[in-house]
Amino acid sequence: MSFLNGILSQVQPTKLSFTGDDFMYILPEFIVLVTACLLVIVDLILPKKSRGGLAWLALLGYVGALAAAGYLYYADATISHTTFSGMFVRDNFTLFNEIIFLITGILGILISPTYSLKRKIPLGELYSIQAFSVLGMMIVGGSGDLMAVFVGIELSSIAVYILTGFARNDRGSAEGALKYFLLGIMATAILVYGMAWTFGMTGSTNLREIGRQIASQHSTSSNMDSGITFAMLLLLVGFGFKIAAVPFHVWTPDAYEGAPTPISAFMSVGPKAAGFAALIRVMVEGMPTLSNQWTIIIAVLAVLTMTLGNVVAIAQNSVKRMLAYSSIAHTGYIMVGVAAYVNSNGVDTNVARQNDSISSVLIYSLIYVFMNIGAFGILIYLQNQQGGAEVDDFNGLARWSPIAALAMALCLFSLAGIPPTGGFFGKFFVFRAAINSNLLWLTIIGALNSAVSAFFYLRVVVAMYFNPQSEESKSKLVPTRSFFLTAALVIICVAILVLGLYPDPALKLAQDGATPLFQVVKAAAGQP
Amino acid sequence: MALEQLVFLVFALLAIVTSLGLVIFKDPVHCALSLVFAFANIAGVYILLGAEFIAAIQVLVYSGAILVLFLFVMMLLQVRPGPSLNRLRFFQSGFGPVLGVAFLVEVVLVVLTSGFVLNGGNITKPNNTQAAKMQAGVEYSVSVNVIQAAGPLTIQGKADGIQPNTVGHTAALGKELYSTYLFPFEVASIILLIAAIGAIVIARRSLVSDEEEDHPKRRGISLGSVPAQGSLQAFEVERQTSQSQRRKEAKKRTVILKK
Repeated sequence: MSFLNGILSQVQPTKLSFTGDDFMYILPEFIVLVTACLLVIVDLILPKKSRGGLAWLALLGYVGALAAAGYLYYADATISHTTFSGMFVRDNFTLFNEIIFLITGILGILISPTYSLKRKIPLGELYSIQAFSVLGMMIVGGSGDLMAVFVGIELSSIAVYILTGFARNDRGSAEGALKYFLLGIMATAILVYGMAWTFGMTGSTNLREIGRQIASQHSTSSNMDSGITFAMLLLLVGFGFKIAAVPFHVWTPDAYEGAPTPISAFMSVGPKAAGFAALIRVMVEGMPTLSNQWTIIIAVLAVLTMTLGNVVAIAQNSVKRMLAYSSIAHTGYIMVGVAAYVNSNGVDTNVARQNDSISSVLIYSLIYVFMNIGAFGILIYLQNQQGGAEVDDFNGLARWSPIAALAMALCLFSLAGIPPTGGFFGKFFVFRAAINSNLLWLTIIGALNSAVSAFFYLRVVVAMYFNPQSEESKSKLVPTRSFFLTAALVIICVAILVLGLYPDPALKLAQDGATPLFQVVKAAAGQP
Repeated sequence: MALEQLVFLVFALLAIVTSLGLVIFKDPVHCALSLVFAFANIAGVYILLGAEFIAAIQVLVYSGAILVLFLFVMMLLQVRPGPSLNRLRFFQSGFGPVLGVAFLVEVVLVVLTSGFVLNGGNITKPNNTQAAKMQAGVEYSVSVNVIQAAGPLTIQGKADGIQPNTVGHTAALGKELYSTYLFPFEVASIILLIAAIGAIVIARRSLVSDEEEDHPKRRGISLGSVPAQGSLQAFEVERQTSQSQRRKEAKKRTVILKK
């Protein structure tokens, strides 16, 4: 790499904002970018019959990126390196987010083919735009600058707007895409406005510099500038939209229901985790001084989000819509983890407690990827076989496809948080972090909400195991096999069980992932 | 009165007049055209302020791209003239002026209050923040060129090898864009790429293979809805339908011939 560096410095005498090593630190992102571009090009060249191979190319890209991220981790496990003049940060937080997003990408590819072929959705472009979306999320996860946060979020969001409208023959798809797009650009405008205010108040877009500026302003004047609070509020609104928190959730049900089901699965986990990554990066790294203000806002929003998501999900007959509201509710649970960042009994900077809070968010996001894509995966299986997505369509699933019913039951138990599944540990870590931060009231509301959510998840389980299949649905049954979908469901079920029975390695990785944030916070406050 | 002030007055007055025209004209095409004039005049004001890069962007992006888009949409949707100014709905006639006055008061306050400073005046201090660096770059580059002397080429003030010369902001901006802000700049180009791919995928015609099964009127540019009678889309659909029918007939004929 130093060799390349030498050449570059000879050829170009101007200031270089990066070196050859910097490219090594963005290697996983680079691999995903190349894969995404290759997918579009190869799609044009390949004859129509052999286009199934595109899925393998996409998988190869994601696995390669995962391997590159793992290599960088094993080369230096305590790495914290900023590149491209502070735009991109390679640390363990970046790594954990990359793992989440790449797994989302892999599972998203695996559940797509059969469904999309039946509905004439162009597969090459689907894979490619999905890969671009994953790239955007990875950029958000590793961002060290408001500008990188912004372009990353936009890259992932615009890709998902397009994917939502991919089923061109379906009016619901166009409607969902349009609603998502219009509300999304509105939220983007608010987000950028918040970033502009932050820049105006602190004079920098670099997150660490922002943290330092706010801390120094805070120490010199007793009353904080209200402008920075205004900026924080605008940023929270923007991020709240991306993670679908109440009251910024109105686009969610229509977009999820209208989008092709594999895309609903992808967008219910990927952009949400990216939104949380951005929220944590900006709030924890950039505005730790204001944490008393933003945690209380997030706690209140978490209560609203959990309650509305779960209560409305009860009334849904369409399983797709029910999963949309359930994903809103899960946003609420994850927000409990973010709200636990500050101890409500007076300010303390106990790093272990703060680490519990952020690492619970990370591990919940990871577990949520598996269980939610799993539930959507069985829905896709059902839609492939007989077309419907209502609760009644699940009647008698255990009779004609016992393994699919078992997998669905496992995912739903995990979503409801019943041991020994991964979902139980996700909720356990989040609520434990909240109790340690003296947020008992929030924990109680969360637990009550979990009880409510069990009702509508178990309703589907009851339909699968105890209700007989109607004659009409029997007549619609068209057996279809899909190797990719089966592989995805096997991976998901194994992952849910492993994370439920032996969560230690993943938890360790999540705790490592949260650590670099606190070093930044300490440096901003002027501590060693 | 200096010539510069005279030129400014001309540009400013024209900008106000054409902006009023944008609101007052009935025909949307006239509104759009007067918007072009308003943008061009504002670009002139930018040049007077020494911000020639923003002036160029103003002309290229607003007058060039966005206005053409407006006109295209009007042409495709066949927008009719709207209601005259005194017959607007309450939201437009009641709420609009209030908002306008609020903005006016805001601008006047900003201009008159000397105490209005962002970041307690820090933004223009030559400390290490990006804003200060950019500010320094902009200030110096109006009359000063950035030439590589002893150190690497950066825009950090006079000490780093800035010598008197004449080059505008555009060079300074370009250098920053391709060095400090390279990463977001490249990602922005990827965003444009997926926008192009997405637009093509969503808006292209159905492939020949699914034409046989889909209803002929549900294809085409109109995203699944049946186009209005006599519109461009209807004409296009008709053309496609007749083409595919002709193709089918030709196929039948070849089958018969083979028999």
